[in-house]
Amino acid sequence: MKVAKLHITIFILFFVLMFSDSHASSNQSIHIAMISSENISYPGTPNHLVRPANEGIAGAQLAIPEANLTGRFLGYSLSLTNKTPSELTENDKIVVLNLNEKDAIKYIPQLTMRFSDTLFINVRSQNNQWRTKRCHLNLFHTIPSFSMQADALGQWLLQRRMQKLFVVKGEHPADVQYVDSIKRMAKRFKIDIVEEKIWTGDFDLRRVAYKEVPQFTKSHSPYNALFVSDYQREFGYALPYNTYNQAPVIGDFGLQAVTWHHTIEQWGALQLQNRFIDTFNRNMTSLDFTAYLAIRAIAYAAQINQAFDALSLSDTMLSEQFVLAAYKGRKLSFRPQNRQLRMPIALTHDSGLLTNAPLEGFLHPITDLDTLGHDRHERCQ
Amino acid sequence: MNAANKLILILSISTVLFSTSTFAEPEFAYVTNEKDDTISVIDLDSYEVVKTINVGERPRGFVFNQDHSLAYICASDSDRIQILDVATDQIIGELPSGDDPETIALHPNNKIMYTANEDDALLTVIDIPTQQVITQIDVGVEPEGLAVSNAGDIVVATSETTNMVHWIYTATNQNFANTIVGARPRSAYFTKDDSKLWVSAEIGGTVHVFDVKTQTELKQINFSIKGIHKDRIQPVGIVLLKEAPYAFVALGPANHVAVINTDTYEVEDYILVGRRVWQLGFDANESRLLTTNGVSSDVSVIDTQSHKVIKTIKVGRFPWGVAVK
Repeated sequence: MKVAKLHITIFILFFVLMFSDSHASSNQSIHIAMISSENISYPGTPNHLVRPANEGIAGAQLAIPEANLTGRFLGYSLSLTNKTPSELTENDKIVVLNLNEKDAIKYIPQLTMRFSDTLFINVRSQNNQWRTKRCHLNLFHTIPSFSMQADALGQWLLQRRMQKLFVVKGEHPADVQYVDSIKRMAKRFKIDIVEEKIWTGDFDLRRVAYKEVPQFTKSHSPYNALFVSDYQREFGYALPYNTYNQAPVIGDFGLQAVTWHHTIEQWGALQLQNRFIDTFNRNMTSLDFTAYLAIRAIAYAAQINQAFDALSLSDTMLSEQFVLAAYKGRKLSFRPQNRQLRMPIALTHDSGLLTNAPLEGFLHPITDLDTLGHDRHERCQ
Repeated sequence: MNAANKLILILSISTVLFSTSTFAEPEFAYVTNEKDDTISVIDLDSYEVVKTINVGERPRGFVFNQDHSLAYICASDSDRIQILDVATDQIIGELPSGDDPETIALHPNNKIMYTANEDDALLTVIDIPTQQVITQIDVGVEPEGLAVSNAGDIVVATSETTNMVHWIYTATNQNFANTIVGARPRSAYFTKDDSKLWVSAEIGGTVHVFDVKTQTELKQINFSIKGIHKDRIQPVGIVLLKEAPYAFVALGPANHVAVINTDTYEVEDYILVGRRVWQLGFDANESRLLTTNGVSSDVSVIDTQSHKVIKTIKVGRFPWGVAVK
């Protein structure tokens, strides 16, 4: 009897040791480098619209200790180092790219070619070309492309039967890209763009917006929505409630199609929002969220396959097993043809979430999430 | 009227008499309304909301003690567990809960309460008589589902973002095993004999059945409903009948409850209920199953024999937890 008891004790001890061991030590380290563009503030941007200095980086920083909470049960840990493009070496096998649209054009082709064994995750550039004409096999995207956002807005326009659109854009090259995606959407959804105008910013909004904007948005034919792309946040805020025709403003102001917003609460989102606000004393933005997602994607891939090198992680992220739960109420996975994370797009205004696209009734043979953005037949080159 | 019919009549009259005498105590369902900071109390004879009790902010998890004299409510945004005196509808006290308690589980000894602190990745163990926190146990990110075995020796916690079941001995508060499940695990439920543990995975779209002795997975159950995309099938609440081999699983935005044979693990039926069906609770003799439907803000009452919805009752906004006394 005593012997039996001893055996049981040893057995339990063995178990405790075994699990406490995997509990305490992290045998595998996953190092992640992050390259971020310096924040540029534009002279015309009102203070309350200036982007936070740590935007994006904050999201990644929030994800690391969370991933390590899981990792301690499975024996791995993640670490994050901020680097400049010139500091990047062959040893940086996983790199998060938090580059603005101008820097993306400069660095994405250069870095992805030079470090062809490195797994890159783009968390900021929405340029469609990284998903169509200039795909790189080692480049993933957790930020939706401009075309995904344009299609989300298009589904809403179509459902509301607002098929006449006035388009306003700023002078930044990214504004051209967003508007091109709107034009692509308009063609697919048979939406008529009645007028397209560039905002040249040659008058002082603070003084005369109320009078100037209705004149600026006067059109030869009536429209029922006005789309604005204002990458630099210089003028778009002056458009809502001030258009010549009675029309809602959509795009970068008014009704926005975004990855993340502080009004999102469902599917555990409130917990994430609370954790972010507690840590950084501000709301989580789309860019914070996509950077958070990049780390989450790596950590989840490590968790499900327990293989930790860049190539294995990349394979896992593209496999059918990979179903990321990320506060969106849907399984998120990467499109195999261009490694774009498929996800619902939130349609939201400043104080409330309207709904999530894809909207009901927009169907696709694989998943309705693929009604947003470039599809399989629009292959990578 | 022939003899056989007479017999049936007599039998049915005596059944009615018998059941009224057995269930002289009217039954009430308590439903926490996450967005209204209230509890709706439903009379299960008339199927009407007979009262609405104001409680703390964002009430979610809800349990009764063994004799139904007290109820414990997770008031998540108030960061506390409130104690409701069921006889007077008054909040008579609270337990220290740590931040953002979402769910609670009561040890069968009625003395220990477990709560999951979503924001801190902790399982808090509370001694009820002294209202003291005994310890906090590290678990995965966003712990959610909790279950204590019927024998009281094991408590499990599921963590939504870590995708794991954490197994803990109640005697030592020691985490002795961690097992991976599908994406975003939610509820956990021990079978009556404690031999198996059922766990739902909301985003994975699966239910996992574990052997409790070895903590190994025995079965993964998948769902498929005609006309509903598989991504919308998101299992959350799980309950098992004690006397019959059936489990009921709430499937979230699929707006259905699945009926699973626990011997064969086959899904035998899908019952259409309200929108975004969430948590489940039986009445005392398990003849009726109540579901909280978050988006349509109502409760469906299902006959557990016929699998038919017999009533839908409007409650407060975003009903979350449900329990019957």
